[in-house]
Amino acid sequence: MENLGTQLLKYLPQATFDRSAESALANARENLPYIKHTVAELDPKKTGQNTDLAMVMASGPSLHRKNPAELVVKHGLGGPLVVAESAMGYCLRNGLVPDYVVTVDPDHDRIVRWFGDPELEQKEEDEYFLRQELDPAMQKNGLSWNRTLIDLVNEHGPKIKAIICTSASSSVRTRCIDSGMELYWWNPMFDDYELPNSLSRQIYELTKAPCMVTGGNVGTSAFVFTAAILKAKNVVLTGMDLGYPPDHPITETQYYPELLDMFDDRVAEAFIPIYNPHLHETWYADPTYYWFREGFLELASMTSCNLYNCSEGGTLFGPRVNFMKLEPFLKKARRGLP
Amino acid sequence: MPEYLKGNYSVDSKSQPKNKKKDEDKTDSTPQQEFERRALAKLGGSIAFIAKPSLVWNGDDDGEPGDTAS
Repeated sequence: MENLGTQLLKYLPQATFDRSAESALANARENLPYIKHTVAELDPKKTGQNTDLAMVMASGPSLHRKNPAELVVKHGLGGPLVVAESAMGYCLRNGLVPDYVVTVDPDHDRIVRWFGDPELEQKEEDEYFLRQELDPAMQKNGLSWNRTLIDLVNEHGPKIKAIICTSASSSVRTRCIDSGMELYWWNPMFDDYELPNSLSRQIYELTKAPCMVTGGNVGTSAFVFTAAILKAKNVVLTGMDLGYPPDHPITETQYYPELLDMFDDRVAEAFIPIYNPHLHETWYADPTYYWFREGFLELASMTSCNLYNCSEGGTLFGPRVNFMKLEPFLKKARRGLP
Repeated sequence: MPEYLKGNYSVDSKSQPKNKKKDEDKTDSTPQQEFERRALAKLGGSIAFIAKPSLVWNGDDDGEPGDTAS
């Protein structure tokens, strides 16, 4: 018998479409005057960039537990670093400047926090950031870290390309522009562009930016960008957990309030345990992260890149994924990858 | 949600959400429909996700900016 969490999976694609489409399209219309470049210009055949190896960094719990930045600084990478916006602050405070930062979520108030929010001190505290340990620096001293992050992003912004979805809010767009980033736009693949009344087709016609499959979240979008636009031959993942560690309290997970509201005293049954045979640990996912995991693995099977998961944590393993530690991978990469 | 925003999205679900008011849902719906209504209202990711054979679509131009589907 399915547990409560797996019973929810079939509703998640529609739920995500319903909650994001209206604001995403509204934001795309607002972003229209700012769309000067698209990700199509970043094809390595046009830029000459070497993409034999690229790293995709997301901001799962393993990012702060394993600290991959230290090893990347020590050994070097020799290829582009593509980060979810939520991992950018971690990189900058650890001496790593990403080549690309990917952003997709249409939210106006929360996502800009990852870029340093100039208006944060005029806003009320957001329980979303207080309840979860998304970034220890942010949680321990939110306002002080925000000021530091503003300075870091302003200092390094001119070296970073923003891979910004047309669904992004004006607050994120303005922050990227003000910090000196170059903006390269793309559309989310909302639905099947081959069928009538396609919203993907409508938004393409509006913006003329390529539509990219998202996986429902920024980390997977960063992977798709790296595999499909940068055409990286070897992709190494860090901080890409798509789940929570065994010792992580369910009360500090992203969708806990919503699941509690749905299931009350049975809320624990909504979480899905996943045994990771490489770690010999049982991590867990809420239904949304489980859906992300399944989606990522499906998309990975469609790419031709060699995929290495060096997160050293999480739920993302499978036939297409070489699950290994980061340091031996980086040493191997220095000797040469396929 | 406005009609034009529905796109052509459909999921592998036996029933689609009805355009009824919340109170009507609570009184008329079966437990399964109520479960579905609450799931649709509360959960979901950052942005829509549909898996297509091609990871990138650049209008009806073939091949650019390219995808790695193989």
